[in-house]
Amino acid sequence: MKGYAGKFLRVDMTTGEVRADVLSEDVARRFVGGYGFVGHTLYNEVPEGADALSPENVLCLWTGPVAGTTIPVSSKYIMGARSPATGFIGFGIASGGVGSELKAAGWDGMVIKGKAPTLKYLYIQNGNVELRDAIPYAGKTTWETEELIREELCDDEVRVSSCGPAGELMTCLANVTNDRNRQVGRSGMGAVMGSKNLKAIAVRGTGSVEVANLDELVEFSRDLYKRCRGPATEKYRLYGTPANVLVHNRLGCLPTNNFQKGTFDHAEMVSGERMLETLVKKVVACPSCPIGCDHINVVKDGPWAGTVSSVDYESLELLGPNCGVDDLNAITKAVELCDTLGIDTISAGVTISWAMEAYEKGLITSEDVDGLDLRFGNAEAMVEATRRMCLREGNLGALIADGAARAAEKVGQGSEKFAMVNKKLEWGAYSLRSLQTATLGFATSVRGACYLRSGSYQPDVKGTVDRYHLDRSRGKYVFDGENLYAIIDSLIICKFTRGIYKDNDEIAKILRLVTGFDITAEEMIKTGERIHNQAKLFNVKFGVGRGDDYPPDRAFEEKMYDDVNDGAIIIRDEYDEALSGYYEERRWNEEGIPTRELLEDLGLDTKLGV
Amino acid sequence: MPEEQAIKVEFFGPFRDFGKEAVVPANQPVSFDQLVAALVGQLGEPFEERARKSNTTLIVNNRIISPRRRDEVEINPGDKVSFALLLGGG
Repeated sequence: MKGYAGKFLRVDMTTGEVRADVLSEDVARRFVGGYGFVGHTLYNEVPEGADALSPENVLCLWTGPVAGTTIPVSSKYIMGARSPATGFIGFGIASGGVGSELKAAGWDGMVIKGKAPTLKYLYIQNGNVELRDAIPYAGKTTWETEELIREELCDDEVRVSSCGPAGELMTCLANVTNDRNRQVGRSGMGAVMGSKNLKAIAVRGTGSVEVANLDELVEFSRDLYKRCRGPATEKYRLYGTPANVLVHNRLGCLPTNNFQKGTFDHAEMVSGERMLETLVKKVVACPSCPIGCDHINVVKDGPWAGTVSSVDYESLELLGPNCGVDDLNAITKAVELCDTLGIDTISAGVTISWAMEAYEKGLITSEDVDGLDLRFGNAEAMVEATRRMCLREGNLGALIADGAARAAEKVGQGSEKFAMVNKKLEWGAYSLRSLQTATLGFATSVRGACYLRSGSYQPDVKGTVDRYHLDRSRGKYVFDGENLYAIIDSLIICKFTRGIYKDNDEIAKILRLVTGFDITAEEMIKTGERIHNQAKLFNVKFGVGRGDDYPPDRAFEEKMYDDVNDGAIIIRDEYDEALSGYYEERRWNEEGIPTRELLEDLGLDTKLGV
Repeated sequence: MPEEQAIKVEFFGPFRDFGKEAVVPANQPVSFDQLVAALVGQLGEPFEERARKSNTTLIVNNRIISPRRRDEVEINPGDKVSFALLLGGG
C-alpha cells in the first residue's frame, strides 16, 4: 500500500507487551489517516463507559499518508483518546518532526492501552520498539524531558513527544509537547498520557515512504513550495498568527476581559506588529515547511528576563486581552509556563479570565486565590495563576487546574454562565456575539469549542454573511468546512497552506499521487463527511445530545458594548433555527444524532443511528 | 480638518512601512482606486504595488470588503478605512 507504512504498533502499558498490527487497505481508503484513523480507532476500541483517565481508555497516535513525503508542511501527527476534559472525542494535531520521523521508522501510528506500574517512555528506533524506565524524568518539564531523553539515547535527532508535570498530575487541560514549541494542545491528551504512566514517546527513523507516483509528486510539490512563499501565506511568514490582533480588534471580535467585550483599549501594546519589533528573535519552520510561522520571543529585561517561547495568536489573545493584560513579556512568560509544565494555553487563558471575573464579582475570595490580586489587567497575577494552575498548587491551583467549567461547578452562584466553554472545553479567541457563524461552528464541534474543525469564522470576517445574526442557511458553511477540514486533518497537511490550493481537486490530487487511490474531489469530500460522522458517532456512544451544541449563556443573555459593537447579542431563536439547519444539512435528527440512512450511505456502523 | 471632510486610514502589518495612519481629504464619496491614488500621492509609488496585492484586506467601518467587491465599494467622507493582510486562522 503506497503512502502508508502498512503497519502500526499496539502497546499494552499494563503488561509491557509491544506488537505490530496490520493497517488494512479498507481502513486506509475509508478514513485516509490522521483524524480519520483516530475516530475509527476510538469508536471501535474504547469500551462504552470507559473513564477517560482509566487504563481502559485508548490513546492513539496516527500520521497521515503524506507524512514523510515531499508535500510541504506534511510532518504532522495527531493524538486522540476519550477526552478527560469533555468526556467526548479528544484529539490534537501537532507540527514538528514527530510525524515524519515515525513514518521513516516504518510505522503509521500506535494504539496504547492499559497503565504501566511505573513511569515509562516508549522508544521507537525503526523496527526496534521498547518501553523504557522514565522514573528519572518524573516531574521534569517537557523541554527538560526532550533534552534528557536525547542525552540518554546519545542521539540528537530523536524526536520526543512528552507530557509535563501537569500531565503527570492528570490535569484535564494537560497537553503534549514536541520539538519544544509544538503541542498536541487541546482536550487533555497529556492527562491521558499521565494516566497511563507514559511520560514520553521518542522516535527515530531512517527509512523512507514509498509513494504511488514519485515523479509527478515531486513536480507538484515544487509548485506547492513556490506557492507557499507567495501572498497566501505572507501573514504567517512575516508576523505569524499574532497579525490577527489588530484586525480582530478593528472588527470587534477580539475577546477581552473574559469575552465581555470585543475590543481592547491596549490592543496595539500586544499586537503582532509590536511583538515582531520588540521580542521576536528567531523564526522557526517545521521540517518540510517553507513558510516558517513560528516566531520565537525572548524577553530581555524585567522580572521575566530570559523567558523564551513561541507565542501564537490564540495564546497571546487569551492570556493577554482576554485577561485584560497588555504586557507582552508577561504573556510570553505565561506561554513558556504552559509549554514547559504542560497545559493548553487556550484553556489556561480562558480559565484564568473566568477566575478574574469571578474574583472581581466577589464570587471567590482572596483565600480562594491564595491572596493574589486577581483582577483583570494584573499581569503578575496572570503569570502566577498560570504557574499554580499547571502545578495544581494552592487553593487557586486546585480550583482552576481542570478548567473553567469544573471550576464554575465548584463555585456556582451563577459563575457557570460566564465559563466560556462548549462541552466543557474552553472557547478559542473569537468573540461569540460578533462572529455568529463561527459560534455555531465552535459549539457544534465534536471536540468542544474549536475554531479548527470548520473555519466557520470565515464567512463572518469576509463579509459573506451578516455576522451579527444567524439563520437556517449557516449550517451549510459549517458542514462544508467540517468535511474539507476532516480531509486536511486526515492527510495531515498544515491548515496554513489551505490558501495555496486552487480547488479541492488539488487536494485530491495529493491523495492520488501519494496513495494511488483513484479518488475524485467529490469522493474525497464524501470521505470527509464519513470521517466527521465517525467522530460524531464516538460522541453519540458517550451520550452527546442537542444540549451539548450550544454556546455559553453569556452569548444569549448579555449584550456586548465596546468601541465597535453596540449591543451585540445572539438571539436564542435564531441560534435554535441555525442549529436545526446544521443538523438538517448533516442529515442528523433534531437531537443531533445521525440517521441510519446516512450511516448506511457512508458505510458506517448503523447501531447508534436513528 | 473636520471629520466629515476626510477619510481616516490606518495601516496594519506590512502597511506599517508607510506609517500608522493617514488622512485623505474628501468631500464626496471615492472609489478604492481613487483612495489608493490619493494615498500614493502622500506615501509614494510603492504604496500602489502593496495595496493592489491579492492578499490585501480592506476594512471599511469595521467591515471587511471582499477583494471581488473592492471595485464596487464607495468610501464616504467620515469613513474609517484599514489596510491589512488577508485574515486567516490563529
